[in-house]
Amino acid sequence: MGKSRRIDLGIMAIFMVISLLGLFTLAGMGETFYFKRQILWHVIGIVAFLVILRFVEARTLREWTATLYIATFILLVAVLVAGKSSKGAQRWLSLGFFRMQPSEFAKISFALAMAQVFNWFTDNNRLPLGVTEVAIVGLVAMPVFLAVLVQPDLGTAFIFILMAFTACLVAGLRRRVIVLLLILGITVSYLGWTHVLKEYQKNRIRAFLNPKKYRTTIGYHVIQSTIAIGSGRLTGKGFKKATQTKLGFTPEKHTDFIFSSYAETTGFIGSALLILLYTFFFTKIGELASKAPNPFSMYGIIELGSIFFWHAFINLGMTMGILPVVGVPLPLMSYGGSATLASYIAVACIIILSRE
Amino acid sequence: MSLKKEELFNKLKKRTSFVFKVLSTVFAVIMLSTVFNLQIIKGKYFYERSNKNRIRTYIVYPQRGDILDRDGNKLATTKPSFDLFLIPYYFFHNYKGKIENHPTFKFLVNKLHVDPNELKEKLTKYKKRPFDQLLVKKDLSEKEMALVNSMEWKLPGVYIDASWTRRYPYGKTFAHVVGYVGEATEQDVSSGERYAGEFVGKTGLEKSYDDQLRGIGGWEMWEVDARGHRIRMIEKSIPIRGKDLVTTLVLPVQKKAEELLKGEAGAVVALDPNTGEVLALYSSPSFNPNLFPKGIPTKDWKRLNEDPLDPLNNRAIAGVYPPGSVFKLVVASAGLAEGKISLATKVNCPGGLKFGNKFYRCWKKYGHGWVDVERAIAESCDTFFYQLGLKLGNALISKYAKLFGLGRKTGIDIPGEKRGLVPTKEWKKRALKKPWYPGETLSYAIGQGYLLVTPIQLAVVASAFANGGYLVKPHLNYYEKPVKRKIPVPEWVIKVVRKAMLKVVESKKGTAHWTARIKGVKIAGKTGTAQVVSSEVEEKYKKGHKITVKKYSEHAWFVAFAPYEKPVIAVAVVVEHGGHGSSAAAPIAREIIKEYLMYKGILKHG
Repeated sequence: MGKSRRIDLGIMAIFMVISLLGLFTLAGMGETFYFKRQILWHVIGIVAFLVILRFVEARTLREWTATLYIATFILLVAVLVAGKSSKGAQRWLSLGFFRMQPSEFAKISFALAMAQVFNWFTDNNRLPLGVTEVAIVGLVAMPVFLAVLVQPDLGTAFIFILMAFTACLVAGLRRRVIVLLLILGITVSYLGWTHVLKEYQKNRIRAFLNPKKYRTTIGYHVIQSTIAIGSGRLTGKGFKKATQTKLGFTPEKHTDFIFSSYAETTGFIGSALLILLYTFFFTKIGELASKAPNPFSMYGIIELGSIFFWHAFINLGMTMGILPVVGVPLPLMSYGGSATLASYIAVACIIILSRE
Repeated sequence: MSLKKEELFNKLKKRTSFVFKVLSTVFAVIMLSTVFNLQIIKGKYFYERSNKNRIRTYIVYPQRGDILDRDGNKLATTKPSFDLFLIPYYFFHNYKGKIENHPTFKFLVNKLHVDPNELKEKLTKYKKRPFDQLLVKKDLSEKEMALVNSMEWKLPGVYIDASWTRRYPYGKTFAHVVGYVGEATEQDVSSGERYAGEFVGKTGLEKSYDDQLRGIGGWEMWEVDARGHRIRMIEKSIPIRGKDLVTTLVLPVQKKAEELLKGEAGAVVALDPNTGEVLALYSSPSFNPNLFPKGIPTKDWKRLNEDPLDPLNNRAIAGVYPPGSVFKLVVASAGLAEGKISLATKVNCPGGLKFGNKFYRCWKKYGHGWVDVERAIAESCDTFFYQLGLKLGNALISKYAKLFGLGRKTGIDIPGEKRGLVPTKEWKKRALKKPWYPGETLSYAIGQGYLLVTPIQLAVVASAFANGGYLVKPHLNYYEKPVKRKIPVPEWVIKVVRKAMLKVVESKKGTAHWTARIKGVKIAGKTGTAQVVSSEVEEKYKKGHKITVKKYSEHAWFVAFAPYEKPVIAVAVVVEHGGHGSSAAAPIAREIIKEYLMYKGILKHG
């Protein structure tokens, strides 16, 4: 196999345009502190991106999957033991000048682990997946899933499930398994509601399910966020004129709810542009996956791509009030060091895997 | 790759392409149509709502759930009140001068006696969130309301709203355990976790069960005029009341504890030894929790914080003391379980023990004579335990101290618990940079020196002997499932120590024979007297107002459970500088037990 160092320009172009829109939104909010820090994170991300492209190969990723997976699991446990608590959830490890959020990196090693598992199924003629295969997926996913769930970071835990689900869509499931998974899903959500979820998480779901009657602080935030988005109308209020966001009405405006500031500023034209950019991004990833040189690479690209897909899907859904608030950032747009860096690493891995 | 595999791979690639096309299309369709609906179809409506000068959303605060004792007596409740709010946007609108010269500011300070510093600080902070409701004053009197109403046209952005104010009907009786509420911090509000002006649990049960108690807020959307006064309501959502919290507390027992500790500094903890349910938890001196729900005046806050007796400190869970002779229960268990002594082992007590070149005294100057382990506990012979301590050494004593839950939080469901200290050799090396001296093991064995425990920990120890060797988790929530863990100590050991505890009260020579007996019920207990350095004591108590200067410098301990045959209550009492455990603490424990047994109908009144 010939080594080609050619970078797929299409996918990187879309990546960078969305990142610029994110920086533009941060600048428009007058949050200079976050704006500057985010630029720094992009610079670090680009360096990491180039280093990975130069020195890492698909084979290396394959060989290191298990090690990376175990390492991230250890990091996640470290968060539980020594992490910084925020709103009753432990998500960060303090590393001096910045706080690292290991769950962002866990998604990447989880993607690689899933790629290995599905590759193994493909190699050994175990498709479509039966009960045993799904149990194997569950067993492999269990450690990181639980470690994230007890933080508690419901959003990320859910992303893991959706990532595994995406690979299942491609690999196919036996009918028996679908029925079993449905039953299991219902039981788990019931037990989760009664035993696992914390009150603030339940309130978020209640607020979502019955928005007219139950207004928690969070439900209130969704109203504020939809007002902000809606008030942008066709053309938006213009740069630095997003009053709803500016007057402090929108919560977490630079992280999870950044889309509401963006949509208020740029209006339907801007929001539609962003949504289409994401759509192109996903189509592009789909193309790369369907041209992958081998099954491992294909599953790897699918899984890494699905991180971006489900994040965007859940985040936009929650800021617009059609999905519950689970605290998931918008890829490339939201402020956040770990998330930004992880995005660069993920996209670098996608490119490596797609190389001949 | 074999041909068959190649074929499968090609099929998978096709499916991948299909799956991603479908996912991308679904994404684009859902997101575009939602954003189209919000920005184009409903855009005008949202645009008007975003225009804060005309339409405002007001938060309607939910009614907080009550906190009840096990019989339904209200320990914390709410009453309707009229509160004064201000929307900072209208306050600062078209005003360039200093905050303190603003006519509205002057009115609030001069006529309504709002603390000027606090108000100024709040206004400065709220500049960032000018449309949030700033709480100016809670629970206005009728006179104040009339005053505001008559002046409202002159006060931009000021309005009165119906809300709730927290009330604690029993005042200081439950202050530490129930806790109190206070206004949400700036950090909580700006991070979006709390409403501006919301009252949240700050300590005690109010804090640990805040999620359940707080309820869910509602809102009202109003059309307002240019000065921020409401004209017409457009839409509203009703708040949901918080859930009540039923506790395991028993009102008469708690009241008794307050009465008995009057004029003393100390704490009482009473548990159901079988389940860990907290029956009473009182710390003295206490404070008036009703000062907090209206926003505590700076002067009261200062007074509480500067009081040398520290009334805000919950001594029952955060007061750490050496356990004194109560610790002998643990050391005796260790000795028996490890086979260092047997029931037949006897030690001669001539009034102390010479070790190294120092004479370690027994509290009984002329000695106990030959004592076995049962008498050593019943009569609290120090000499016996000095020798046992030497046989066990630091490591084994520390091991058993930890097995009985010392040096670790009990896990009671109120915040602020201290873990105390089990002084292992490693600890001393780390913390004091000194080795452990053999002589220190002697003090350690009789519960003096570095060892520190909280009253709740000793209540758990007493429970363990009451229930036959289980470590319970104390809890206040009536609906919490009891958790208990077997302590790895043989059952016969627990039985022996238990019997010795009975002798403490029943035997004529027992240390609490004359102070802890109740007619008709068998009580088992153990006295303790914890030495403290006396110089700092004087200082602290000279300043103390209601509490008289003490002659003694020791803390008095008593732990007990009753009835001996089938225990229903375990108690730990500490009286700071109360003197001897038997005289100062045992009568309190006796009265607490009596009160509870009468409440349960086990003892008849009178």
